[in-house]
Amino acid sequence: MSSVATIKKTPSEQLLNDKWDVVISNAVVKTALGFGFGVGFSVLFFKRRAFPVWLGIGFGAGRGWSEGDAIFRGGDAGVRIVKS
Amino acid sequence: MLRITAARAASASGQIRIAQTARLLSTSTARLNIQNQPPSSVPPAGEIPVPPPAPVVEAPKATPIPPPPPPPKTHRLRTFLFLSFLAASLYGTGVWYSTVNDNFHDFFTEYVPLGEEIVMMLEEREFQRRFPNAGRKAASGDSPRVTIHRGGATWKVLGDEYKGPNSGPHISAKTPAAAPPKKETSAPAPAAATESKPAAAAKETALPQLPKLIFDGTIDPALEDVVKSINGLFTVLSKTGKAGPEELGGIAASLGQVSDRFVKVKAKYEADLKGAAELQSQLIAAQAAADAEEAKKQLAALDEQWKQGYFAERKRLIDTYKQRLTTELKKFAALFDTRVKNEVISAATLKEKEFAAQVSDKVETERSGKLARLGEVKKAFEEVVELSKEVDKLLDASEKAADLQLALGALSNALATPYQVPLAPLLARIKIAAGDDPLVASVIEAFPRSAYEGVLSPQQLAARFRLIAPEIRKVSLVPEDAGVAGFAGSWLLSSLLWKKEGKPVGGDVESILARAETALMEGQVEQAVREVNSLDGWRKKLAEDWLAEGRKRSEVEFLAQVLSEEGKIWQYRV
Repeated sequence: MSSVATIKKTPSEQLLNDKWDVVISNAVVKTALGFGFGVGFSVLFFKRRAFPVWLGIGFGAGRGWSEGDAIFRGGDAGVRIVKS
Repeated sequence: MLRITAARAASASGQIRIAQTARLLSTSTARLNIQNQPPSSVPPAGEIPVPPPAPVVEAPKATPIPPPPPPPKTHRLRTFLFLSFLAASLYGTGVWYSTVNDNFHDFFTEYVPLGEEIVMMLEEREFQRRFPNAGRKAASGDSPRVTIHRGGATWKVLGDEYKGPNSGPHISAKTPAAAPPKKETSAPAPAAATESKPAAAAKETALPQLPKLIFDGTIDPALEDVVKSINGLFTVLSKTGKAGPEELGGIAASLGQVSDRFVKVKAKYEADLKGAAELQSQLIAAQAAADAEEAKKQLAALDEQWKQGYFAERKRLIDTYKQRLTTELKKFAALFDTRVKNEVISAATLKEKEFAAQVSDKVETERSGKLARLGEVKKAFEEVVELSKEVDKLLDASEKAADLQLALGALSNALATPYQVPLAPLLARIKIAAGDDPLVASVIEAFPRSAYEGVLSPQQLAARFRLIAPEIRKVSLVPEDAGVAGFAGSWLLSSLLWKKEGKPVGGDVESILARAETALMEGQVEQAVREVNSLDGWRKKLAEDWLAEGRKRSEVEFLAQVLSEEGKIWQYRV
């Protein structure tokens, strides 16, 4: 049973999981970026009010979502795959 | 110069102009008066002292003119002399300059009155001074004249001096006695004998002395009489100035004699000439006849020569031909002999060959009769050899078939094991056992290269299917071209679906998975592969690896089946 591991390339049943990994990590990164920008704007321009933070999170999450859609549909929009 | 003259004339006549103006004014006033007054009362122009007041333009001008000046000193003579001198000097200068300058010469002769004549006269004089003797050929009658005597023996120029019309006395007139006296010369010779009686002639009359004809032996004696008569006549004529019938008769008689003699001589010469011409023609004819004879003789000789040459040549040709003919006849005879000999020899050879063939025929027939049985024995032996060969072949074939069966058994065993076994050595063994069977060779060729390492067993396939089935179930509800929401929704909702078992009917993912799993449990890999292959979209994509393995397994199973069938055929064939 362990001889299945001899196949080098990504097994076909793992394709979707890999995509999920990329989508989720991308969404997290984008959301975090939005959060960071929101905090910065809030501190700098909006007297530490909360809404810029939420707005940034929203922008980041939305960005992550749309890129996830694109990834699932076959492209790799917004994602750089750095080959080691 | 004319301009200067005009200017000077104008300046000179400055005083006159005033008078003219006054005269003009007076005439104009006079004309006005004519208009205003009746003509009967017109006074003479010079007598009106004061102009009347009228609408004349020049009227105010006329007023300042003083009355005619008193005639104190006009210097008319002096002025006239001066003017004359001036005009003469100008004219003279013009004439002189016209001799110097050609352009001025043209102008002067053309426009100045009498200029041409004066200039011409001056030039003529100059020319005469330089060349007093040239260009004096005026009169036509004085041109030199040449008279030629009729005899043509002498010539004499008469009046060759120039006789100009105005050059004083005629040159000939200066030396009238110097002119040579005219001499008459007679044909034979200038008379030397005329001086024989100069005194007598001079005494009697002033008649001219006629010469005497004298021939010192160079004349024909027949003419001597004539000469004598003529000399007598000349003597008489010299003496008396006239000749009588005696002298003339003597001359006539002697002339008649001469004429007779001339006629005779002429007749004689003509006769001689005629005789000579006849003789000449006779000679020419004789010469022509002789030439013709000679030519005939030459022709005859040439003809004879040619005939002889012709006969000699003919004889030579005939001899040559005869000789050649004889040689050829000899050659032909020799050739014929040789040929006949050859034919005789060949006929003898043929006979010998026939004899030898007859002998060998007889020998062969006797020998075959003796050795007939030996052939039968050989045939039987060959049949035995053939039979043994066939037996050997059969034995080989059965051995090969056994080998093949063994190899095929090994293959089926390998496929039946629950783990993966490399198939390449098994296939090689089958190939060797099958030899050159085309079907076995092509089947082994059809085995996929990836199967040489071995194929998954049905159990292994079933285990892997159990691993991928949940993954496929997760995406069972994913629509086409789904995004994050589609995948997430399918993942969540698929967990709520009922799981099926056995062999349910339907095209949904759960039914397909259930049927495939059942088929795998039953060991029907091909059926399971078929079911999984009917999936679509992401479901099929996730099952791709398993499908490849399954297909490989089913292909190998099918090919092994074909080989086992072939092995059965081999058993029957033997």
